[in-house]
Amino acid sequence: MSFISKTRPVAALAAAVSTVVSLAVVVLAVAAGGPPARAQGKPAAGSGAAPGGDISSQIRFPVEKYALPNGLVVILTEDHSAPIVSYQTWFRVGSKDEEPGYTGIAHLFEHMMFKGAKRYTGEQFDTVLQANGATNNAFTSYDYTGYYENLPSSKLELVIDIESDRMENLQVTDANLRSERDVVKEERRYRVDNNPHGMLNEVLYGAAFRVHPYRWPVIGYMADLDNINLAKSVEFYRQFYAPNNAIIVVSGDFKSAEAKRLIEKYYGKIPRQEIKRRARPAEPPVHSPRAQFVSKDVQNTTFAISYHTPKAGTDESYALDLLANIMGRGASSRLHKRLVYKDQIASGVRSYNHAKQDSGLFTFVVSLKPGADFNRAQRAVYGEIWRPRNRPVTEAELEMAKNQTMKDYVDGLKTVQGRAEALAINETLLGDHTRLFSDLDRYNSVTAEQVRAVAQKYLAPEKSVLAVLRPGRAGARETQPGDNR
Amino acid sequence: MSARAIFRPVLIAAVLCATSACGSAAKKSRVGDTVLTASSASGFQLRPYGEKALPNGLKILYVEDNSLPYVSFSLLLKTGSSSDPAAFPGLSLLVAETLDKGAAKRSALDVADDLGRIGADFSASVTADASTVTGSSLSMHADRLLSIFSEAVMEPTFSEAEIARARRQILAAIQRRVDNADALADTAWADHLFGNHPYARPPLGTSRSVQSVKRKNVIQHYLRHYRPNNAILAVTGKLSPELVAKVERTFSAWDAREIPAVRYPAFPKIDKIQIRLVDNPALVQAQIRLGHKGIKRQNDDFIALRVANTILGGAFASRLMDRVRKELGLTYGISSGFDARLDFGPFEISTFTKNESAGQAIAEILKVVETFRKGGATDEEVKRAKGYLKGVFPTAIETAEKFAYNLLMLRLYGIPDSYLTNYLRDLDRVSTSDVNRVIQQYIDPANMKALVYSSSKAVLPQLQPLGIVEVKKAADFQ
Repeated sequence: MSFISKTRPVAALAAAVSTVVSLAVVVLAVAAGGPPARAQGKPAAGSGAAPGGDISSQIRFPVEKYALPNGLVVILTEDHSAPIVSYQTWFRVGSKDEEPGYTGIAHLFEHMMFKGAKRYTGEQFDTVLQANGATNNAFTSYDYTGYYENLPSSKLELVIDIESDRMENLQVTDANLRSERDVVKEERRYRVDNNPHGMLNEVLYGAAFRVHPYRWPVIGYMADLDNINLAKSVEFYRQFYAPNNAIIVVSGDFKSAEAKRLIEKYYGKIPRQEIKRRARPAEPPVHSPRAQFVSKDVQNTTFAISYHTPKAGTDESYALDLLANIMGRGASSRLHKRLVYKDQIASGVRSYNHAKQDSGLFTFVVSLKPGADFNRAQRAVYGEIWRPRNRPVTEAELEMAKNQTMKDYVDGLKTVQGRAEALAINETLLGDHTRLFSDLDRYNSVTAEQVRAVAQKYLAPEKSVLAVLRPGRAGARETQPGDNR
Repeated sequence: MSARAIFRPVLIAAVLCATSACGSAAKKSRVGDTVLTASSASGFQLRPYGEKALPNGLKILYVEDNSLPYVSFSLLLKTGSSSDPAAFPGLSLLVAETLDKGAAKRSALDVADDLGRIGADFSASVTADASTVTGSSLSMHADRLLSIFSEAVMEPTFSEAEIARARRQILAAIQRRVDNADALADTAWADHLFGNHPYARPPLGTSRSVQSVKRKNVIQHYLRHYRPNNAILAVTGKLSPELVAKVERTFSAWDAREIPAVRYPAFPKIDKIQIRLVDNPALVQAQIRLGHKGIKRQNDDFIALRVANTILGGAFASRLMDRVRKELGLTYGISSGFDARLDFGPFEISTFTKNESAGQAIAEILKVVETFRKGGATDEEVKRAKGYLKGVFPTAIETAEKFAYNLLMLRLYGIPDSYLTNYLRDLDRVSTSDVNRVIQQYIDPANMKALVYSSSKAVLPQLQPLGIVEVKKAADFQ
C-alpha cells in the first residue's frame, strides 16, 4: 500500500507495515564462508525464561560501513553461501518531499530512472541486465526510494556501472515522461481506484494527516500526475539524486576489497550536491475523534482505526510493536479471537504500528463479512482497544509477541536481499544500520507495564481517526465529526 | 491465494549453491540414519539433502540449514482442487482450512494459542494439483511445533462447529472476491478456459457447493487423501538427531490407504477467438486474460518453452512488455506463462488496462503473439533469455526452504532431481531453432479464449469486433 514498485507489488517488504523499522529483518550468523557457528547450548524451551536472548546472538552477521568523500554511504556484508549478490541503492527521498499539486512525483520519477542514462539507454538497461541474469525492481515509500538488482556474483561491476550511470547521467525526455505517466495512471487504477483496500488507505491517511505531506498517497492523485512536466522532473532529479543523499548496500557473494575498488571507481567522481528539502510542517496532535466515511460499490465494509504514534526508532516503538502484535497478528491475537473467531463478524483483522521518519501511525484494519453490522464491530474494536490501557497484557501474551517478533526477524534474514533491505532501511531512516542487531534485545526487555503505558498514552479515544469504506452509491464521501464509538 | 504478483513465476526453477563454502558443506553428513548428499553435475553443487521412505509410504526430505535458528515442516499432499468431487468444488480447501481448528486433545483456540506461544506460523494452501500444509518456528521450539503440526495433519477433529465457522469464512471470501478484480478474473478465466475439466473448479469453491457440504463429506475427503502414501514431508532448518528420530516415530503412526486415481477429460476445443466478458459496472479498469491449452509438466520441451516464454512475456524485457507497456503505456503489468501441471495446464497472458483501452490492448496482444509466431525469436533474444534464466537459477533455490519446495514439486510431477543438476547444461543446449519449433507447436494466436472482467457498458462495443463475446455477471462467480 505504501510501497509502490516498478513492476510488481512488494507487499512482502516488512518495512511497509513495520514499526521500529526492522521487524522484517534479518541476520546471519557467520562470517563469510562456512556455516555459521552453532548456537551455543540449548535454550530453555518455553516456560517463563526470557525468550531468545540466545537468538539475538545467533542472528548477528558482519557488516562494514564507510562513506566516500562525496558523501555516498556504503554498507557491505559478505555471505558466500550462494553465488548471488543483492545490490541496493536507496535515496533519502519519498512522497514526503513532494509539494502539493505535484503529488506522486517521487514515484513517477522512480519509473523515469529506468528510461536511460549516458552509458546505458533505456532499452539497454533492461536487456543488458536480463542477458546477464540479473533481476531488478524499485519501490517508493513515504520516506525513501529504493532500487535493487539481484545478480550472479560475477556481474557486480556491470551493475555498479549501470547504477552509477543513472545516479549521475539520467536522460529525461518528454516522450518518456508521457508514456510512463500513462503506465503510472494504470498503476493507480490497479492499486487504488479498482482496489477497496488501496482506497481505504488513501482515505485513512487523508484523515489522519492534515498538514504533513503524509496526508497524500505515495502514488499521487490522478490530476497531479497530469501536472508533472519535464521541468519538474529534471528539478526533482537535481534536487535529490546525489551521492550524499544515497545509501548503497551490497549483500552476498562478493569480496569487500573488490567492491570498494569498483564503487570508488564508478561513484568517486560524482559530485556532491546541496540537498534542499522543503520544510515539512509538524502534524498537530489529534484532540478530538475524526471519522471519514466513503461509499463504493463493494460487497462488505472495511474500516481502519488509527492513532498517531512516535516516529521510527524511539524507545516506545518497541512496546508499540509488541502491542500491535498482541492485538492483531494472527489467530492467537485478541482481535482475531474476538471478531473473527468468536463473533464471526469479520473475515480478517490486523494491527500494526507503521513508524515513519516524521511520525508513526498505529492502525487496526478490519474487513467485515458481507452484511455484518458495522456499529457492532466498531464497538467491539474500541472495547478491545480499551483493555490493554487499563490492565497490563499477560506475561504469556508478551512472551508470545516476543517469540513471533523473533521468528519474523529470522524469516527476514534468510536471503541476501532480505539482509540487504534490513540494513538499508535502518540506515536510511535512522542513520544506523546496527539498530538491526540491537532490536531483538530491546524487544525482549519490554515489560507488560511499558506496553500498558504506551497503550494508555497513544490509544486514547479522543485521538482516534476512523476511516470507513462501505457498500453504497459510489462517490459519496462524508466527514463526521464527534464521537464515533 | 489472494493477490498475485504481476509476474507470476510459471515454471519451477531450480537452485544451487556453487561456491567453495558450499562445496565443503557438500561432503556427506547425516541426520538420523539418513545420509545427506549433495548432487553435483555441470560444475555446480546442490545443497545437500537426504530422503527417506517410511514403511507406511511417507517420503521425508531433509534439508539441513544451520545458518539461522529455525525449523520448518512442509507437507505436500498429491491432492488438489482438481480432486474435489464435482458436486463439491472447494472441498480440498475446506479440509485444509480446518486442519488446525482443533486436533487431538486441543481445541481450535488451544492450537492458535499453542502455536502463538512459540511464535510459530502455520498455513495450508490448495492448488489445482496439490495441497500443502506448512509449519515453521524457531528451532528451540521444534519439538512443540512437531507435536502441533503432526496432530493437525493426522488427528484433526473436524467438529461440526468449526466446519460451520470455516464454511462461513469461505462464503464471505467468495462473495468478497468480486471486489478483488485480479482474483475474480482468475476464477472466471479458469472457468471459461477449462469448461468441464476439473481445472475449471475454483479452489475456494462456489457458494452453492460450500453451503451444501456436510461434515461427513469433509471427513471422507480427509480420510481418502490425507494418507502417508499420498504425501511428502520436507523438514528444513536446524536438524538434531533427536528431532529426526521424533519426526520418523511420529509419522510412522499414520496409516496408509489406497488413493483413488484422478482421470482427466480432454481439454475443451477452442475455435477462433472466444471472449467472455464478466460485467461489474463498478470497475474503472479491465482485467484481461488470454490464452489456450498449455502443457503437462512432464514434457521434454519444458525448458525450450521456458526460453520462448521469457522472450514473449516472462520477464521485464519481453515482447509484450515492450509493446503494451513501454511503447503504448496501456498497462502497468503484463506477463505470459505456461502453468505446467499434471494434466495440460493453461498458457495464459495476463494484464489490465483502463476500460477505454480494453479492446485495443487485446488487439495489440494478439498482434504481438502473431508476429512472434510468424517471425519467431531472434538469436539475440534466445541468448538473452538463456542468460536471464541461468542467472536467476541460484535465487530460486537460495534458501533451504525454497530448495525443499523445488524438491517437493519435482516429486509431485514425477520429474527426477537431475532436472536441477542438469538444468544449466540443458538450458545451454536450447537453440534458436528449438525455440522457434516450440513457438509453432504450442502457441496459436488464431484460436484463443479471452476473459475480460470490467464494466460491460464501457467495454462490450470494443470487444465485439475481436470475436464472439459471451457476457456474464460477476454474481455468477459468487
